[in-house]
Amino acid sequence: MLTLLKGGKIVDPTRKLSSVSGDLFMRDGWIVAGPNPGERIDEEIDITGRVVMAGAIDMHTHIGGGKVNIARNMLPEDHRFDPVHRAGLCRSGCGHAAPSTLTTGYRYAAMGYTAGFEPAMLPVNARQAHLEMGDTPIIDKGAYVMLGSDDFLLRLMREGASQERINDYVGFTIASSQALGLKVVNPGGISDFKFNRRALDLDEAHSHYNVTARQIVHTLARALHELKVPHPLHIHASNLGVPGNFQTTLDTITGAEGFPIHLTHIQFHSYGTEGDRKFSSEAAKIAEAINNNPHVSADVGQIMFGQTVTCSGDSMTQHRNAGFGSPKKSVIMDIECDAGCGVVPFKYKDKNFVNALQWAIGLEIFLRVEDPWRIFLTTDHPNGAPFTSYPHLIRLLMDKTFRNDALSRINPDAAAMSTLGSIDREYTLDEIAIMTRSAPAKILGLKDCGHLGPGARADVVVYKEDSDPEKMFTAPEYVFKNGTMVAKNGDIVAVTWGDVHVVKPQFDRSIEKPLGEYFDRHLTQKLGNFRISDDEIRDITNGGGLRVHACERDGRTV
Amino acid sequence: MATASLTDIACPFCGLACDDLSLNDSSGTLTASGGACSRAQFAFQKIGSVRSDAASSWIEGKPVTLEQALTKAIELMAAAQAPLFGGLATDVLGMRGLMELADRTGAILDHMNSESKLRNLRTVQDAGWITTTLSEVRNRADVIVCFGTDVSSRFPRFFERCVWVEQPMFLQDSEHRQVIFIGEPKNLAPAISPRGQQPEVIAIPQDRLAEAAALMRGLVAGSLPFKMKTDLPFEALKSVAERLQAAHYGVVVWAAADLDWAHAELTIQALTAMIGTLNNTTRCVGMPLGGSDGDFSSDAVMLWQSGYPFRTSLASGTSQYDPVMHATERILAEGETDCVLWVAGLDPDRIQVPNLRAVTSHPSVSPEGCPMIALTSAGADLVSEAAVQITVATPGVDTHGYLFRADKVVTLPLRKAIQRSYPTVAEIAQHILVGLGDKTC
Repeated sequence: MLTLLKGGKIVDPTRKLSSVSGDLFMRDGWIVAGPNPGERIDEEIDITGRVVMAGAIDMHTHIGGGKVNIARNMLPEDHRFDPVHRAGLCRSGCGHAAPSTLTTGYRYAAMGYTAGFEPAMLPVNARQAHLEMGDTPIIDKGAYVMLGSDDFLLRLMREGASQERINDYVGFTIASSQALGLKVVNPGGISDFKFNRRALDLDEAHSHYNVTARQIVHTLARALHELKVPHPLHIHASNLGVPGNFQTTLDTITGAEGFPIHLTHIQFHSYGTEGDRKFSSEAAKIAEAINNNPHVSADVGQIMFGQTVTCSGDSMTQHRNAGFGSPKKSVIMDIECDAGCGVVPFKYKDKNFVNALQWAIGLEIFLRVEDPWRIFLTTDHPNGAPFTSYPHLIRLLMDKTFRNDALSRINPDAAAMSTLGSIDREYTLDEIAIMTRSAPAKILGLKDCGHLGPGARADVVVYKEDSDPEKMFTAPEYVFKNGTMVAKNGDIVAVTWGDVHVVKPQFDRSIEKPLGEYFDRHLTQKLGNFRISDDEIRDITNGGGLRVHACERDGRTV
Repeated sequence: MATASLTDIACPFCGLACDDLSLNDSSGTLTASGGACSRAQFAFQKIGSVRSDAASSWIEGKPVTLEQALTKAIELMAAAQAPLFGGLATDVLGMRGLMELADRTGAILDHMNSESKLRNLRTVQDAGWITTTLSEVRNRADVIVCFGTDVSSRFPRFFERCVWVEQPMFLQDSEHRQVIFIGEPKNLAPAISPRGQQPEVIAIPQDRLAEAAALMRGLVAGSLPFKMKTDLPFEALKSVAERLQAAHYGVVVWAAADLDWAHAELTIQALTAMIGTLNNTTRCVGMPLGGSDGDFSSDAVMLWQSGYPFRTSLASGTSQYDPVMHATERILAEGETDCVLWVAGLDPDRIQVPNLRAVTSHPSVSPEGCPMIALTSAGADLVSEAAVQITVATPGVDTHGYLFRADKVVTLPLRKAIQRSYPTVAEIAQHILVGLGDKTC
C-alpha cells in the first residue's frame, strides 16, 4: 500500500528541512523516497499548504507502573469531571491528571504524539509498567528503568566492585526489565529514607553504605557510556524542590565529569534562596550551565496552574512535601530493597508566590537554553501538569504577547522576581519540531523516529497552520501511525497498538550468579520470574511489536 | 500422561504469590512441592486431577459441549439490559478480556472481595498512607505488629518468607525481631521463631479492636489524657506504642478481610494515622495484606483501563464509580441486574456464588429471573444456580498469566503447567463479544 501526501510544507529538522514544499510517500508503515518503477499510488491525500512533521515524542511522561495506578486509586475525584464515553472505535475511560491508559493513548494520538516514554520504571515493578503501557493504544512506548537506591548496586559500590561488574549489573537490569534507558532518582536518597534519613545532598555519604550521590551519578553515567546505551543517564537530581538546589544541579553537572547526562524536570531543580521568602529563580545560571556543557541535556517539567497529582519515585522528597498536598492525602511506599514511590496530589495556583515563580522558572529555562536539541518540552506529566496542556505550553513559547499577558496575571511578587518579561525570544516552528521530534529521537537513539526521511516509520502529523499555535497543536488535521491514519481533526479514526522500544546492551552474563543468590537470600521472588522475556512483551502489548535499538554512542564530549 | 517437572513456579492461590514452587505432573496428578504450603498443594492437586475428558460445560446443570454453552452465554448476554460482572477472581489477562466485554455491554464490575478491600480503599481515598512491600519487611522490620489478624490463616508462608529468614540484610538476625499480635490470633505456630521464641499476644476481642487502634494512635500522638480510664490492656498497648517509637523500622500488618465489622476503615485509619505520626521521628510502615482471589490483579486492570477501582459501572457508556450503589449484594437485593457473569477462575474452593434468590423474587425482575453465567476453575463444584457454567483455564495451571502480589508492586508471571483445552476467561469474553456482533446492549 503506497500513500502519497501531496504538497505539504515539510518541517523536518533532522534533515534540515524548514517548511519545504514537497511530497511524502508512505509504504506499508514506512516512509519511502517514492514509488518503485511502475508502482501504482494507492492513495493520494492533498495536503497543499499544510505543515507536515514527524509524530511527536514525549520523552518523559508517567504513563505506566504502580505510581499512576496508586494515583487513580486515591483520586476518584480527579476523573469525575472528565469522563470519556465509549464512542466509535474508542472504549470508555476517563481523563485528567491520571487518565485511564486507553484515554491516554487516544489523547496523545489525537494531539499528534506517536510515542511516549515512562521515565521511572522500578525494576521490580517493570512487569506492571509494561502491562499498563501495553494497554495504552496507538502510541509507541518505552521506559527508563530506575537504579541508584537499590541495595544490590549500593552493596556493589560499598564493596568497591569494578566498573565492569557494575556495567554488567546495569546491562542486566536494562535487558531484563525491557528498558530503553536508565534513570536515577534522588541518588541513594530513596534508600537512605528507609534508614530514616530525610535529606541527602550530593556529597553526603549514605548512612548505611557510605557512598555519595555524586559517586552514584558518576558510576551510572559511566556505565551507560561504556555499555553504549544511546540515552544518557536520566537524572532526577538530589534535593528536588529545595530552595537553593540550583547549586546541587550545577554540582551534578560537574560530578558527571563529562559523561553525557540528561537532567530531568530541571525546573524543580533551579531554585535559589534570594528575596524575602528565601525562594528565587536561578534559571539563568542553570540555562547558562546547559549552554556551556554540550554533554548535558534537560527536560523542563513545566508546571501549569490547576489541579494535578505528583507521582514520583522520590519517596524521601514526597514524604517531605506531603503536607503541601491538595487535597491533603498521600501514598508513600518503600519498595522491595529496590526503590520507593510517593504520590501527592497538588494544586498549582497562579496567585501563590511559589507556584507562580515555578511557572516562570520553567519558561525562563525554555527560553534561555539556546540549543533546542538539548532542551525538551515536558510537564513531567502529570507532575507539573497533564500532557494535554502541551498545546498551551507551545503557545507560551511561541507567542511573547500571550506569554506576557499570562505573566501579568500571576502573583505579582513572583512576577517581579522573574526576568521572564524581559525575554523576547519566541520559539519558531522549526524549534518546536526539534524539541518535540528530532531531538527526542536523537537523544533516545531512535533512528527511525522523529524524522520524515526514507527509512523512518511513517509516524506523520499534518497540521493546519494557525496564528494561534495552541489551536494548531491541539488537533492536527491528520495523524498517521506506522502509515495508518489514526486521527483526523482530533477524532480517533483507527485504533492500532504501538511498539515497545528497548535496547539490549551487551554484558557478562556471569552477573546472574551472584544476582540469583542475592534474590534467593534477600528478596521474595526468583530471579527467573523477575526477568521479562521478549515473548512476554509481545504477549502483553496487544499486538504491538518489540523494537530493539542499537547500542552505539559517540565519544565522550568533554 | 508423561511426567513433567517445572520449578520456580508462582502460586496463584493467595496474595503472597510464592514463586519457589515445583510442580510435578505425573499420571494425571499435579503435585506441588518445593515451598508449597498445604493450601497450594491442595488447590494444584484439585485442579490438576480433573480429567480432561470430564464434563466441563453445563447448561442448567446438564453437561453440554463448550460450543453449546457459549452459544447460550451469548444469548443470555445479548438479552441482558443490566449485566453484573461479579466474582472477578482472575488474573490480569482474564480481567483485560472482561473489561472489553464490560465496556461493550455496559456492565457493572464488582469483585467478591470488594467489601474487605474497601476498608483499605476508603482509608487511601481519605488520607492516604505509608506502606511497604514484602522484601522490605523481610530485611528491615525489627518490630512487627499484627493487628486483628494471625496473618498465617490467610497468608500461610508470611512468617517463613518475610520474618524468620536466615539473614536479613539490615538486622543482626531474625531472632531479635519482636512479633506482637493484637487481637485473638488463632494460628500462632508459624509466628514462633526458629529458636522457639514465642510471639507476644495482647488479647483483645474483635469488637474492641477499633478502640485499641484509637488508643494506640493517641498514645503515639501524645494526645491522651494523663490518666485514662479503660478496661483495655492499657500498659501493654502503651508498651507497643513505645516499642514502635523506638523501632528503626516498625511494620504494622493487617489483613482487611479479618477486620470484618462495620466501618473498619476507621480502625485502619487510626493505624495509618499512627504510622504517619511515627514517621515524624522514625520509620514505620503499614503492610496491608491482600491480593487473594486475584483481587489486586483485576482491580489493577480495572484502575488503569477505567480510571476507577471495583464497583464501577460502565452502564452509561463511561465509568462511574460508586462503592455503595455498585455493590453486588445491593444490586441483587434491589433487583437491579438481569444477568450475572460470575467469574471464579482461580481457587476451585473459592467460588463464593452470590445469592440470586433476592433478585429472582424481586418484582422488577421478569419471571425468567436473573440468569447467571459462571466461569469456574476445574475442580469447582457444580453451581446449581447457574444457567450456564463453563470450566475455564486456571492461570498458573492450564494457561499462563500475570498476578499482582499482596504488596501491589510485584507482578508474577504465572506459567502453564499442564496441557488441557479449557478456554481462558479472556477467550470466553472475546467469544461473547464477537457473538454479540453489532447488537446494541
